[in-house]
Amino acid sequence: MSTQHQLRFGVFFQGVNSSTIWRSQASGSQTDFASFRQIAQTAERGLFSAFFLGEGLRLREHLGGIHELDVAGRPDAQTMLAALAAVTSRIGLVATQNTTYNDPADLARRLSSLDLISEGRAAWNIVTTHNAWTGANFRRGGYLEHHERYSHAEDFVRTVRQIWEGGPVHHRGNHYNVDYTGTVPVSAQHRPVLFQAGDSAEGRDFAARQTDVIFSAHVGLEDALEFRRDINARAARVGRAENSVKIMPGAEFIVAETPEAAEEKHHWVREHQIGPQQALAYLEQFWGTRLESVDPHGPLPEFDPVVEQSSVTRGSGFQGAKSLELAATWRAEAKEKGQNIIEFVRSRSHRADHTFTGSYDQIAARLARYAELGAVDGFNITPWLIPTGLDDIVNHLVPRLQERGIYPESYAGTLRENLGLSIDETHEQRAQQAPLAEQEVS
Amino acid sequence: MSERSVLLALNLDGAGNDPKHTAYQALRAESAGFNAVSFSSDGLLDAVQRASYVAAQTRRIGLLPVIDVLFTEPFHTATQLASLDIISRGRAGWILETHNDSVQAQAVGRTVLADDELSIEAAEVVTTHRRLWDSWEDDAVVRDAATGRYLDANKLHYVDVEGRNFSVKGPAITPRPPQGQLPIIAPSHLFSESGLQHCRLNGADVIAINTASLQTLLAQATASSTSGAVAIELDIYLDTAGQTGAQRAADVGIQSSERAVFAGSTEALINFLAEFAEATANPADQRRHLVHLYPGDLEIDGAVLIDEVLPQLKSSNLLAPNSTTLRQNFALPVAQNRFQEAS
Repeated sequence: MSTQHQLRFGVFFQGVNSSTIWRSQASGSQTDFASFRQIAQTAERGLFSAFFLGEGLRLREHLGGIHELDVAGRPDAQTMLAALAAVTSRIGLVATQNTTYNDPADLARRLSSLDLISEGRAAWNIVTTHNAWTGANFRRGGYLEHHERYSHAEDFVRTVRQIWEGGPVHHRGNHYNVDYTGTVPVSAQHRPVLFQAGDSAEGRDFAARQTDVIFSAHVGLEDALEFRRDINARAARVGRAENSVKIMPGAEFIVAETPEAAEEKHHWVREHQIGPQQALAYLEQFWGTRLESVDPHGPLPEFDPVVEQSSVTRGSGFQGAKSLELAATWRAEAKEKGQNIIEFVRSRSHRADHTFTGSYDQIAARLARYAELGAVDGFNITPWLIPTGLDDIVNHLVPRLQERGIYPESYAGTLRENLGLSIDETHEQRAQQAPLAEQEVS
Repeated sequence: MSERSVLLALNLDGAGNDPKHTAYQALRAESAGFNAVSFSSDGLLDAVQRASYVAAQTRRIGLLPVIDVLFTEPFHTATQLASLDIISRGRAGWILETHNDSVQAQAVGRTVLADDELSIEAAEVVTTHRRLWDSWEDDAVVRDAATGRYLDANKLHYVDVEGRNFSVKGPAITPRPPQGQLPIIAPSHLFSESGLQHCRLNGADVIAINTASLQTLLAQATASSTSGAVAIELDIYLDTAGQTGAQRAADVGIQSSERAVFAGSTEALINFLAEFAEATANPADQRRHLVHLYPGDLEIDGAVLIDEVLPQLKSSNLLAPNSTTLRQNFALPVAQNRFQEAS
């Protein structure tokens, strides 16, 4: 079918969060090089386009103390990816890096360096943060206001792009200036590929202007199609061709030979991801107090949260919420579904539409619909087990997708080529310049 | 003759921006018996990344990236170095530098420091690294299914560094590196009473000495070796069948290089190294000293070193064998965690 799209896979080695199982004998080190090497090499055997590493610049906290319940202790992303460049040869290497607590010149230099060391396989997943809590680890401290988050990030990305173009760069910013001339030559893919995950209207416009690939949260088929339409519309407004911004939602795959085996596995995974303590800790963020005396096998607490606003576990991706309202809604929801605390939290923290559970054949058929409709360009898979969590996908699902003609049979070349991206010179030039409105102001 | 052997490090910048050639040179150096390879920062690919790329392909050799302390983020560099130590399983060290020039400063929107501030800034950055590397106790990851805890918060520590120019809260985001504390090599001009110290809890482990003359180098190394480990830095041009080292050095046109230049035969080099080993031997202290070689031409001088110099050094027991970790190579004591209660 000529309209049929190809799907591509990436793998996101999370290293934090409750979705990575540590309670099982099968769970390996979250820190040792051997774990990273095994996942990356398995992914490469399965022709995955990209290997992703996250970044969190402060150890997560919960109710004022270090959060103890989830995996933690990630090595530095680019240092790890440079080592992985030596033991892989085709897979893309994506570093999540912050625009608030990095310097543009230093980050531009290190990313170009990774791009050359990996011979054209590097990418930057752009993230922003404004919070002073993370800033407590850095020279600039908490210098950025919430409303400046995206304008600062875009300023930063433009500066990095200018540095990559070569020649002297003189950036005058609201918070600091940059005078720098890059020293690292361009790589086989011209510049590192840019990923971004922001989902607000502002974040989507940012992505349409600046990025090559969106690491989206829109996994369900209808949701993915709607997101594709929205991104295409935003990209068109800045003169970019249809589908030139690639979309790869983050997703979890729980697959097995038969539907029954997959269901059983699904149950095992959830049981090991969220134990009683994790379930209570999840509620504690919204109740604002320790719930040690509450039975996690019983109903949600009848008493109200002690705070107006949730005090979400710091360093995680949750948004603040109105606690009293939330508690009432959740109590009603859990009661209606007959869920105890553990069951309720398991159902909430892993949204069913972010998980593909089923037999290899069932999932291959479901993914074929995505390819046929062009809903996404692929999926960024978060394995729930390290370092063996991709084995079933690579051994059993990938061959079925290849049989259907919706998955690559070989690597094309650089990461940019593997993702089906090309360089649009006009857009590249525009992306380096501040929009007219901003130029007039400054 | 003293039983003291020395450590030898080879700078690999001559391999340029070609990662595969860099790794090839590192493997050759490793099999020849070098104790470490080094990566300077100037104008080439990132030094930590080159070291990490090499770490994944070697087993025994030490890895020494050069990192500036003035215009970098201590939290980032501490994480990068700990990660390099994790990837290499205890073979990472840090050659500390203060790159106090306006080009570096303006790249990150800052200004150069006054000369008398350098030692204090270096000391505060080193303290930050030391505290961050101890901020996870070795057994902080408990994986206790009964209590649902992956980490034990009692074994994680805020570092609370309040420097003159920055502060860092901690803890690290990366567990304690395998060596506990990475060996830190710092240039002699940074050591001062009120600033960076040698062989102290928050100090550097090795004083790097860098003067233009070989004799001054020996004299200063001898003096400093009474307080701890020293490193001397040499540009090196060795005689080959076709050309003398001195001719090659003259062809390159030695700029007023900060480093001492050694140009001559392999015998003369071996004699110089023996003299260094003898002069710095300290019967009261088992710490080893380092000779850090910057080959005039990595291909030519690297080959002479590997084929002619190292075999002779080994047979005369002048070259220290490689231990499991870089700390062990320097014969540094096991790094106790400052946050751990004595038990």
